[in-house]
Amino acid sequence: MARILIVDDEKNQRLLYREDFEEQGYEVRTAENGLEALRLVDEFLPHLVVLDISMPGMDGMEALSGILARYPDLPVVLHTAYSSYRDNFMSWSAHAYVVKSSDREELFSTVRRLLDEQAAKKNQAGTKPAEVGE
Amino acid sequence: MKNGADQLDRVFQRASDLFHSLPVGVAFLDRNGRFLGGNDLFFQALDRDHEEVYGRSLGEVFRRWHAFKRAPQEKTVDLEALVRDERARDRVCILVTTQAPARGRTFRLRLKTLGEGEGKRILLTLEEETQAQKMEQKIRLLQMLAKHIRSTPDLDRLLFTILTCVTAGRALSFSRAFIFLPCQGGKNLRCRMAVGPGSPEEAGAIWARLAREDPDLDTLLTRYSAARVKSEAARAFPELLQLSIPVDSPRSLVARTFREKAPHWTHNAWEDPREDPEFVRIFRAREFVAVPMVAAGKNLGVITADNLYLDRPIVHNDIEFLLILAGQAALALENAFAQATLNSQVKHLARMNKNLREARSKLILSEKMAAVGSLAARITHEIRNPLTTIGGFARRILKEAPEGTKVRRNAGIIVEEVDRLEALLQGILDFSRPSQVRPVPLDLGALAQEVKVTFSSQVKGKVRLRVQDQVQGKKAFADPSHVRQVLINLVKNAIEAVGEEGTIRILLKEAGERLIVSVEDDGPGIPEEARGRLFEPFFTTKIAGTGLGLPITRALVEANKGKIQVESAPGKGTTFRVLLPLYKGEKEGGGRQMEEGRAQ
Repeated sequence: MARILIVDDEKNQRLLYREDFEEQGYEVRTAENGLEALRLVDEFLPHLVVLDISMPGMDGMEALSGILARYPDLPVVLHTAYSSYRDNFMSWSAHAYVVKSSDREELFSTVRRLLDEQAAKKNQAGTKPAEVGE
Repeated sequence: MKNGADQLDRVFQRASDLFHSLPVGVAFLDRNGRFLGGNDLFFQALDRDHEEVYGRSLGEVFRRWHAFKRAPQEKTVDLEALVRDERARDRVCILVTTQAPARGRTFRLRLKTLGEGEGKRILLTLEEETQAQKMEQKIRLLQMLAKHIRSTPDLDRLLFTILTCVTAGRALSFSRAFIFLPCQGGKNLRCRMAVGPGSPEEAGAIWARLAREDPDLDTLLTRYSAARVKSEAARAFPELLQLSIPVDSPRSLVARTFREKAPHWTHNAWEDPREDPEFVRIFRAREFVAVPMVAAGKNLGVITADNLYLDRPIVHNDIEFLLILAGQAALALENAFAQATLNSQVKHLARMNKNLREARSKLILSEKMAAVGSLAARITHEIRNPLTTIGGFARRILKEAPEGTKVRRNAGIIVEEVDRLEALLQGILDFSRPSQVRPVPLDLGALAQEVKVTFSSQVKGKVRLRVQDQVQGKKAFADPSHVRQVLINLVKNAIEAVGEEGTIRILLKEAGERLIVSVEDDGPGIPEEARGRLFEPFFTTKIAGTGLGLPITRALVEANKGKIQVESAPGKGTTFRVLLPLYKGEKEGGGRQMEEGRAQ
């Protein structure tokens, strides 16, 4: 079962996405800021991170560089109310960029696609999943 | 009575010697105005003999002459009518002049009735007036020149006017005249205008026509456009107009005249050591005169005049008058140059003023946009997050609630309203910060069809939406998502405009380097006061409008290097025209790949 880490500073949104993804059969943990996210990446070893950008404390961009420094292949979906970060160089290093919407279909399909791609890559490598940085 | 006439005739015969020695031309006519005879001077003036005149009427004898009354206005006189008018004929003095202007002689013609009844005779006197007439014509020419020069707006016409005065008047009738002006920073002189026949045949034709029509100066000056005159000159004197004479040339009378600000006259240019034979070959005139145009001590150019094809020497009198005329011309020329400078400065200022005004209104608009931008950035995101949550949970409820329940209906309403709000927020964001442009070769026809399908549910009843593709597979170079948004906005507006009934047409046309997508409706049109503000943010005429639709549309079009125009008249509908760059193939294809590479 694929593990997804949701990072968002808003409690209700964390709840919404947790229910969404759990309903779709994923194992979900949530973090409310960048720092917590970095801790959970090490602890929970997610297959994918859904990362909000604008957060108090450590924001998404900082967390993104921290995550990619340790797990360069870990798919990160930037999930934000701002479409303006799309033009930010840092956000180009994320695997996907989804603007928040009450209609989460784009988020769901992006997550599915990235996880499928990752699974395919690992199958090609012929080994069982081995997390980088262990 | 018969006796009376005989008596009179006898008196004349007896006094024959006296008549022949009179210093004026004298002739007798019978009471019907037919010539009986005249003295030597009379026949000399007419260049006829007794046989040719006897028994003919006044009109017949002076058929080739121009007869006119001078004051108060020059007016052509019908000699036949005059001789029949017994009361008038003794009182008026008229002028008659030979029609060929080149060799014109002018006479003062008077009629006097002598005797009574059957024996009535008419005495005709002719007094030569050529010199006085010439002087008067010179003054009139100067007046005319002054008048035309004042009302002459451009340089070519002014030059033409000057040269026409030199060649066409009765006062000063050179056969050809040229104006040389300094060019290339005053290093060289070039012939800028030429008037006169280019060949002997042409000369014959021109003078025959002038003799026939005898046009006055006004007519000559207004008959042709300056452009026509210029092209005529270029045709008649192709080599001369190409010629460039160095101002410091030692062998050029034109250059010498310019340098020395003094007239030069050569009787035989072929043998004149001051003239270049190559110039004479092109110029052709053996005798010519060059006079300077000087105004306030400033050298403006040179006028040359000659009598080529006319077979008549240049006389001193003509040169003196040409000098006066050149002085006038120089003043006029200086005026024209000053005027031209002034005009170009005025134009420049007007252009600057217009640019400034445009910049100012753009600045105001962009300040408004910036204000919208920062406001939007702050508020939009604050609203968007909770909205996502509200809508998100509403969707969950919608999914979980059983079909047909009130909960399901209510959740559906929340989802719908949230969608609307989200679309509005997206609009504000797009406007305050249009997203990156990713232009690709774009099939507008296909896109228009796609937009048509999008609106199929709204286009019903008596509303029609048609697509007319006249670009035959040509592609635009633009971001498809932007153009789609633009079309959607415009079609949406059009549908709202036509209301219950109407036709909307999406028309694709090609125009040079651009493709044009027009969205036309036959709705009520946009009132004039609203038209100028259509693209201002937050300006709306709709009850539920955000006032952002058209500003966003324009921002999107401009981000794609396009233009948007609107045409509307109350009662006649509205047309929005979007001009997009035409895709021209490989060159831009490379640009596109680069753009895409950057976007990833």
